[in-house]
Amino acid sequence: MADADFESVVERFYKSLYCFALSLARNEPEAWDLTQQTFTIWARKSHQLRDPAKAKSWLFRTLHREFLGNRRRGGRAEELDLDASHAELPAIPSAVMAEMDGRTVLAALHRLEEIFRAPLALFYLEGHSYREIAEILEIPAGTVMSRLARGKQALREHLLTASAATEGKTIPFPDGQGGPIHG
Amino acid sequence: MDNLQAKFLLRAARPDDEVADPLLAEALAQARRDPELARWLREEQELDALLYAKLGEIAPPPGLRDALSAIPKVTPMPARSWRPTGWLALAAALAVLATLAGLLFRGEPAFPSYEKDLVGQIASGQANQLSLVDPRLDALKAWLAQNRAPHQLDVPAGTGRLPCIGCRTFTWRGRQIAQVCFALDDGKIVHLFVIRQGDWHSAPPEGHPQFSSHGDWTLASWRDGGDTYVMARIGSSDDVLKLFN
Repeated sequence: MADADFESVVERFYKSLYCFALSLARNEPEAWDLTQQTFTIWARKSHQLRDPAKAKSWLFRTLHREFLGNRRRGGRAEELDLDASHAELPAIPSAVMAEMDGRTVLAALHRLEEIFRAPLALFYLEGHSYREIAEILEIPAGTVMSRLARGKQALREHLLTASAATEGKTIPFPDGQGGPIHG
Repeated sequence: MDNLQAKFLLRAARPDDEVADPLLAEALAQARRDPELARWLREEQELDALLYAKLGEIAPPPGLRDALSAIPKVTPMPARSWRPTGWLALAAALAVLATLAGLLFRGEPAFPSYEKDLVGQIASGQANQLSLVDPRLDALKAWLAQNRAPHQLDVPAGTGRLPCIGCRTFTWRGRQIAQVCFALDDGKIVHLFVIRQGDWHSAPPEGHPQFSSHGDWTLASWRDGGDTYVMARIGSSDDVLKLFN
């Protein structure tokens, strides 16, 4: 692979790949390693990719596989418990969101189970469609939809909790349905 | 499709695509007809856009970009340009020799067969498939320790002054082997293999290297405590000797 080609792929994707790795691993050293492992594999195997348009999916899929492989070797696989959720999501006041920074959102994402973190991170990074997410994570599209729905619900609950913790407010979540913030 | 089902589908939709998806198209059409659903979708997408922007604020740590640029862009050893058929034939011959050695000794093979196997790995490019690329020797040692490989490496002085490239670990004939690669000024690579335990036939001497040649490659092998070290580079034994001083 020509240096220029490699550099252009790194420049285009390394930030979002690192963020994806960070959302999965929940710590910076492992996110660094995952990003580096992914590009090392890319440097070695990208010539096998026939369709250059698939580079993005290939990189994210490879990083996710590396993460799962590391987890298997470390015996740290997380259990999953999935149902399609039709529950209403809690509303987040725009003023609350405006006060939050990227680290706060990331911290809320980190509190989710792994099965929700991966699809949500992909949804919010690089603008992946649910079909692309299914291809990257190698799971059915219907499962992605379900995980996005439940993951969004959990993420919003965590964001509201984080906001309340910061401001010392109480937030009722009757049956996970969400509700207004009471000061 | 009721509104609850439509919301379930629309949570997976992006504002700028998915219209070709029949399920989403139906849900989107419903949102156009139903003002309440349309309002919900607008708020949903506004929040998604905000979260997208917030996560976009996360910056990678300083140094990551440079570390990625330092990754070897191709298999670093130009093995294919060095008469590939010859090397493949050598690797095959070495495999046969290794098997014969195993049969002869019916247990621990003689150490030279390990050396030949390692040269075979280098020739095939296997030795270049590093698991971790990092210029810091301490980071490589830490990674090897995490992966239960030999990691208390006593790197010869001349080699220790070279920049590291990366490392990997693999199991060979039941032994855990650590491999660390160093870069020479001329672009060539030094491979250092550390093999846990060394109780085999014809073991290399303790504390000082013995040299052997395999094609263009020269190997230096020695024992240090419970570990056996094998260092390989292209060049003469004098070239390899410089890596010790």
